[in-house]
Order: sequence, then C-alpha cells, then structure tokens
Amino acid sequence: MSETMIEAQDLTRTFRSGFRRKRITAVENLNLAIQPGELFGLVGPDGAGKTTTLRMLAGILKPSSGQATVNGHDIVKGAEDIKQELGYMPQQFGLYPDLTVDENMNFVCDVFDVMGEERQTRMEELLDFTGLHDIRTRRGRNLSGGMQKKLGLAAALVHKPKLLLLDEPSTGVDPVARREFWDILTTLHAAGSTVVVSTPYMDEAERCNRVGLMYGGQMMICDSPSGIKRMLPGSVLALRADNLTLAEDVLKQVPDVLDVQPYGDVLNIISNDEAGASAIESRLTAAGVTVDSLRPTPPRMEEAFIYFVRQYASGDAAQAAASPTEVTA
Amino acid sequence: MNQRHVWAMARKEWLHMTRDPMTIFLLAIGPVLMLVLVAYSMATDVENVPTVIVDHDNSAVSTALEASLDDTVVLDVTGHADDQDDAESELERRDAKVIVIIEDGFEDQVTSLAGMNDMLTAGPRLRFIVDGTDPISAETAMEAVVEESERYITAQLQQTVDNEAENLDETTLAMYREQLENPVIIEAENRYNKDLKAVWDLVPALIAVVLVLPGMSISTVIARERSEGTLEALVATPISKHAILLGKTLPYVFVAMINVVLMYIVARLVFGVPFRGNLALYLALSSLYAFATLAVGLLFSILIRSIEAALWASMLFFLFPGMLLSGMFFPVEVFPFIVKLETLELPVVSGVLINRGMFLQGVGVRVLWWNILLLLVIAIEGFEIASRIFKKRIA
Ligand SMILES: Nc1ncnc2c1ncn2[C@@H]1O[C@H](COP(=O)(O)OP(=O)(O)OP(=O)(O)O)[C@@H](O)[C@H]1O
Ligand SMILES: [Mg+2]
Repeated sequence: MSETMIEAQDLTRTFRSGFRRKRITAVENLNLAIQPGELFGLVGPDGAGKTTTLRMLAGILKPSSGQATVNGHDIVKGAEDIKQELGYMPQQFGLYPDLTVDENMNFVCDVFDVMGEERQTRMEELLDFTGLHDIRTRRGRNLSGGMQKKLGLAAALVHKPKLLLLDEPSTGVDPVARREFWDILTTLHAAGSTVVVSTPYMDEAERCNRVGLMYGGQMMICDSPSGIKRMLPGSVLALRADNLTLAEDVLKQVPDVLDVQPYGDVLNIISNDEAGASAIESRLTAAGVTVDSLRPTPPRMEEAFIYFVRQYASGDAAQAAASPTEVTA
Repeated sequence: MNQRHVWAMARKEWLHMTRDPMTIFLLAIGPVLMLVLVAYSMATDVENVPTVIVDHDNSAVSTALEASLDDTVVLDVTGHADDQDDAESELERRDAKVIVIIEDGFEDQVTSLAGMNDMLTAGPRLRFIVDGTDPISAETAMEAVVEESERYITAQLQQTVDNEAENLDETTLAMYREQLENPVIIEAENRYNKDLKAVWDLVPALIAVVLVLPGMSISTVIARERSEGTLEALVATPISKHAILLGKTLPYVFVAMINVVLMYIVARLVFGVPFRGNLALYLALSSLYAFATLAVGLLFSILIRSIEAALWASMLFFLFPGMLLSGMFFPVEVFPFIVKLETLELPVVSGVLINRGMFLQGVGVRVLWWNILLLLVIAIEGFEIASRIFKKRIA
C-alpha cells in the first residue's frame, strides 16, 4: 500500500491557559507526510509541540485549524477509525497504577478485542519481549519508571497496530533498557509497522529514517538524519585544550565561528569554511589557550540539533530555516 | 455498543474498588452504618419534655391533672401561660414542646353525670398541642400526655359514677360503667407534623438518603482517570464512550444494591419498620433509583474536572437536600416546595417518597408512577447527556 500513512496540512492547535486566558500556540501550520513503513523521529526542545502533535494524530485532541489524515481517516471525523489500528503510548504512564501488569494487559486486550488463544500467545510474547514476565503480578505503581515505559509499550502493541505513536517512550529508562527498547522498535519497523516516536535523545533520532525538528510549534526541518547533518553550514572542529572556558569565550568573539558547544572535555566548534582550523588555533594561542588538538570531526545529530535550536532561539529562525532548505533543494 | 467492552470496563472499575479494602468496606457497609447511627441517635429515650399549662378551669381537678402529668417520666410541667397565644409563643421559642389547655368547665365534666354526658357527646374540655418538629420526641410526648390524661379522666369518672350509683337504676348504671370501659378519646393537635410516625418514617427516608453515597463516589471516576493521566491512553483505544460510561456505572449499581439489601434487613430487624409493599417491585425501583443517582453523579464527574470539586458538587446536590427532606430535621409536610424540588429532578426526593410509600403505605406503581417516571427520565436523560458531553478526547 503506497497510500500516505500520515498527512497533515497546516495543522494548528492553540490553547488558552492561565488566569488571563492567554493564548498559546502549541502547534502552528504543521505540514507533514509520513509514508507506511517509516520510522519517523520527532525531536525538539521542551514545549516545542511534540506531544500536542502526537495527540492530534492519535485522534484525542481536536486541531484548532488545518487538517490531517491518519491511515486515510480524518483526525476529527474519523478519530474512532484511527484508534482501531493505532498503538498510542502517552508521554506520562497511562496505565492503571492500582492494577497489576497482568490486569492492565488484560484490560487493554479486552478493549482491542484480542481474545482467547491469541491473547495468551500475544501476552506471553510481549511480556517476554519487554522482560516483564517475572513481575506480572506487580502493581503499576510499584514498577520502576523504565518498567512502566515497557508496560506502556507492551500495552500499545497487543493488537499489532499498523501505526505506533510513541511519545518519549525511552525517557527515564536506563541505557541498557533504552538500547533494548530501540531494538524492539527496529524489529517492529522491520516487520513493516509505521512508527512515529518523539525523543529528546539525538542518538535515537539518528536511528530514524527521517527526523522532524520542531521548534515553537513549527516543523523547522524534516529530513533524514544525514540530510539534516548536511544542512549544518561549515564544518565541525573538535577542540581539546587546557582551558575550555576561556576558549569558549574567545571563540564566541570570532565572527566566522557559528556556534560553540561544550561536550565533556571537548569543545565542538561549528565554523564557516573560511575560518580554517589554523586561523582558529592562532586566535586561541594568542589568547593564552594551550591547544592540545583541533581537528575536523563528522557532525552528529547532537551538533545539528543544538545549532538549529540556538539559531531559532536567537530569532534567526526564518533565516536559518530558509538557508538549509536551499542546501537540500 | 460492544457488550464485552462494557464488561471489561466494569471489571476494571470493580478492581479499582476492591483493590483497597477500606474503599470497598466503606462503599458496601458505610451506608448501613450511617443509617444505624443516625436513626439511633434520633431515636433516643425521651424524658422531661417541657410542658406548659393553660388553665382556664382553675379547679382542684385541673390542678390534680397537672400534678399527675408532671409525675410522668416523659413530661415535665415547666410553667403556666395565661392564654393559648402566650403558650404558643413559648412553643415557637422552643421553650416548650407540649401545651395542655384546660378549658373552663373541665371540672364539671369529670365530677357530674351531666358533665360526663357532655364530655361523651361534645368531647373533653381539654386540648393538647404538640411541637412535631422533632418527630421522635413529639410522638413519645404525645403518647404520654394523651395516655396520662385519659387515665386520669377515666379514674375521675369512675369515682363520679360510683358516687352517683345509688341514685341510678340498674340499666343506666350498667350503661355508664360500659362507657368507662372505652375511655374517652382525646385528639392532640400536632402543630408542625400532622402525621407522626417517627422512626418508621425516618428509616425508609434515610435509606433513600444514604443511597446517594454511591452517587457521590461515582462523581469522581472520570476526574480520577484525568488526574492520574490514564484517561489519555484510554481515550486512544477503540472502546466506545457508552461502554466507558456504562461500564463505570455497573459496579456502583451492584454496590448500591448490596446497600439496599443490607439496609432493608436492618430496617426490618433492628428498627422493626413494617414493609407493606411488594419486595420485588421495591428492589426493582431501588435499582432504578440507584441508576438515577449514579447517572447524575456521572454527569458531575464529566463536567467537573477536579476530584475535590466533583465531590463537593455532588454533596451539595445529593446530601443536603436529601437530609433536609428525610424528615430528620424538618417533617416533610412543612415543605410546600417539595413539589418544586421534584420538578427540579432531584432523584433523592423521589427516592424518599418511594421508600416511604413502599415501606409504610404498601403502595405500588399506581401511586408512585409519577416518581418512577421522574427517576426513569433522570436515569435515561442523565446517561444521554453524559454520553453526549463526554468526548473521547483530552482537553
Ligand atoms: N492542555 C494544555 N493547555 C494549555 N497549554 C498547553 C496544553 N498542552 C500543551 N500546552 C502548551 O503547548 C506547548 C507545547 O506543549 P507540548 O506538550 O506539545 O510540548 P512537547 O514538545 O511535548 O514538550 P516536552 O518535550 O516537554 O514533552 C507548551 O507551551 C505547553 O505549555
Ligand atoms: Mg511532550
């Protein structure tokens, strides 16, 4: 089936909140097309509108304007049809804290009409898959944060949904569990499911087919991870030096340096090509910084993400968004 | 509507209820405890009820009657008033609960045969007024004042007849003596509560009132899903909203019926309240009543977003009107606006009337049809509106 799985046009959602009913635009004129079988990552800083977008696509939040179809169904008129084939995992633990793992799973199976033998095998499979087998009788509230996330995922999978919308499924999960989590997602993806996942982790974004970068309710960039990294202007230099704080201050004064991002004992410098490594090195030495090493490094999503978000935040949003699209075009 | 989904929802809600032993204990036993507690506290022994005398007769007989009334355990003569108006103002001020008015000529009625004839035809020159506001003490006081007066009058007349015996022929004497077998009937006027039945009246009404408790607790179910964040996952599943609402209601209906049965048993065995209606009909109407209160509670639960606010709203709606109308504080009859409340579709009003009617009067559908209809309308409309307002969305 080549029909688009998710298609959004000018999707907008505003909220009125607070005492003075101030208007907040959580999602603004979002355009998006996701094909069946994609593993799509939704990234963006806190409050960018990721959750709001996923909720609208899940048919549980009405857009203020614009429209979208999921699996061919309109998200307002066809919301109930969407829910038949959708696995939705909210950002917050959405299962019942006073029910056990088994009771929660059984309820979800009931609701999705997964009955009889199919239910038995499916539950065994999912509990094995998520490692929850040994704690089937533990109550939701007594699970660790990571276990809760796994239970949430297992519950979203009982009916083998065509589409998975996962809102930060791996936040608060330990690195090993996070890796397992992504192995599960990759397996599902390989089996043909369409997965849309929001995440604050850039290494996870890296594992997606395509990534949408949201900022201030808008979809700023939507491309493959390598495409996004290519949009990063100039090149990335990794600096090791004795005084990184001083180095950072100095580099911020250099016009050709676009961004400086401390990263452990390394300073990642995004610079225009004209400002070569040697020019930067001499500036640093002049300022009294002893440079241990300064060499070009391949950009990662991390650098790209921080760079773009800073660009938007400093008000250059329009410009920053315009130039990379030219690059890809 | 998918029946399996309804049961799935009901089972889940039942699990929530039973998970915490205290919750299910309070839900199942709470209403019965409340019934026993309130009914007992209102039905305490009545002693020394303040009584005021209006004595227009001013005779040895009237003084003796006063003394014998004062000698009873129940009554306590606290003063005299010049006339009925004075005495009634004491009643209004709650300084007295019983007024005994002895009219001029009372002595004559009990000390001469002519007077006795007059009493038997025109009634005794003696009147009582009882404050019926508090039905239990009023009933006891009324019984005491009537009984004691009748005993006293009968004794006096006995003596009068004995004194006159030698002046009478056999048949006339026999006739008088026979008259004395059936003592004079004195009617007491009940000022504020025409038809005192005290505990019998109170208990059936209380059953209806405490049955609003499940209605109050259901008013938090949606708010709880919302605040625990579970609503978001729930509304993203294919379960229909009717299945959600009905499934949430069923366990509460079940609990309410447990309450009804327990309270019925307590009413019959502990308080000795008669049940004169049809038991099967009573159970059917009780579940209808439960459905109606639950429908309203559910509506609150959808309309009001926080648990606390939902609880308060349902308390204002259910508990206070229910208590007022139960006859615990005021007798039902002093409320001319009860009819207006009925049209406000307060289910508890119909519940009280149905319970009273079925326990005490033994009436059925023919008499109660109006209240049954009201409850049906409330139940159906409540669910209808609830499912129209409830959206399978967040925010
Ligand atoms: N129900 C609501 N009422 C009022 N404002 C809301 C509501 N939901 C979201 N918002 C606002 O909309 C904006 C976007 O929120 P959203 O939850 O979609 O962000 P997010 O990208 O998911 O953030 P995070 O990474 O922190 O989860 C925020 O400013 C938020 O405060
Ligand atoms: Mg979010």
